[in-house]
Amino acid sequence: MDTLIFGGLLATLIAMYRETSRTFMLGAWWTMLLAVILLMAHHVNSSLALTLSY
Amino acid sequence: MHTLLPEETPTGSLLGRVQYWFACFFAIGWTGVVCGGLFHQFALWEHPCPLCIVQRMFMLLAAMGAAYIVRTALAYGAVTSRDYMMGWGMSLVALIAGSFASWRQTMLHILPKDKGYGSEVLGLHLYVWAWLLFQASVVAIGIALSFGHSTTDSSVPAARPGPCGRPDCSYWASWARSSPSTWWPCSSRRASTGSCRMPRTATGSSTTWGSWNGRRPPAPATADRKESGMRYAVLGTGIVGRTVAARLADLGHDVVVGTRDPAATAAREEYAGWQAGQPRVRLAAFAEAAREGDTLVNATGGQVSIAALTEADAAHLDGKVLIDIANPLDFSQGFPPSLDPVNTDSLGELIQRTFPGLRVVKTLNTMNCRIMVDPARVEGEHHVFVCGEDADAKKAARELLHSFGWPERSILDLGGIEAARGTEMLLPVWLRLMGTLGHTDFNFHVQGA
Repeated sequence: MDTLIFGGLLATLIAMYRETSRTFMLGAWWTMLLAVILLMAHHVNSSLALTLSY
Repeated sequence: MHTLLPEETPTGSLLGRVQYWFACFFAIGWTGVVCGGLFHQFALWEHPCPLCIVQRMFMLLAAMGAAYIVRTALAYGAVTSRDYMMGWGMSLVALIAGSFASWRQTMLHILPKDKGYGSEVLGLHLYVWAWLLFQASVVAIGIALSFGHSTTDSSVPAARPGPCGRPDCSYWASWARSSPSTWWPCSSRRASTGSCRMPRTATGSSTTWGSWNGRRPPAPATADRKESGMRYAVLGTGIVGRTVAARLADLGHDVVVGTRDPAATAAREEYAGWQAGQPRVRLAAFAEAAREGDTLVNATGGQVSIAALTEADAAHLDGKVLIDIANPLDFSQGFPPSLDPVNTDSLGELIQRTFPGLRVVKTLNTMNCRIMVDPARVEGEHHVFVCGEDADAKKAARELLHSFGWPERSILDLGGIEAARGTEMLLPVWLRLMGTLGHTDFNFHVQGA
């Protein structure tokens, strides 16, 4: 999954360089952001178990 | 909000480029931070945890927002407010998401006696540094945006990116051209719709494209000329048609000029003289020219436009973009001419109604033809109007305007083709201004309150 996302980031960067349309560029970027957020959610699988009172 | 339009003529001052250089620093800086993480991974063999990887991804996404600003500047020599907003917006979202990831990792190790994950740099773990940098970057962008009124001139150094750092370096351009165009959705779309942004020209040191300092817009580099390759049919052989056709040819497009009787036109002395200097431009009958052109430009006299397009068989050219730069001037009553149609109709609407398959965009009709293709002839801020029903067609027209040297901020979209009534009715004003000023090197400038 990590490799796929890094590949997607590279593709998004290349799309930016190639001056693709703004819509495509934004779509690719938000897709990658969503993918990274989902990956993060996948890795966040426990509470912090902090007992701090603030 | 004072105005949606620039309040002053952009001069590309040092202060006005601050945000552009900040974007450069931002993109390079975050790339450096990620490289630092890779150094720890591959040189010090400290394997990253999953959250570290996620943070690197957010860092790259944040850098990409700033990189978008830099890319826009390098490609067009100008960055509009919407480009700045888009780039910084992307960066902010990624920074906040990354900040959450690094915050969580910091919290995982915040309890006393927890040694944390990995080694420390300057007394802090990498993920704590990441958290601080994410937060600092959010603040930095906020500061940059709050001073945006003085730090965002739209003129920035325009140079092609490349390893040698020279504006005319063609390394990356060559690489880009080596990729099959069909890999890229935009490229295939460009090919089919003709909405391709013109290749950035190699301009020499610190020349800005679309800046208002009186310079003539530069001609494309030779390699770019071969690259652009759109086919335009310019209908009309008058001074307007010839001027536009010459500029299109200069930009590297295939241009065919349409006329009613090619033999008679070729025999005209002024046309023959012009043709001698434009060997790449072909002359053809209306129908043949219209068939060959991907995009049509109507530069015929407004009173004969419908007849010319009928002769061009435009009814059977469904889907093609027609850029209408003509005006319905009626000289039947002498000078100054009146307009026909006018008030409740316009030439642009008439063409669109008569040929519903065409995607008509009305533009460039409110100025002299030399300014159409060379807006820098008029110093200072001035505007070109665009209207039409088809969004893609208007986008193609805007990109053609960009290639002529019109910056994005100088293009005012007035909406549907009905707005052609307004732009055509500017002609009586324009004609009287010409009489008062005694020349035609002027244009309209819309100043917001």
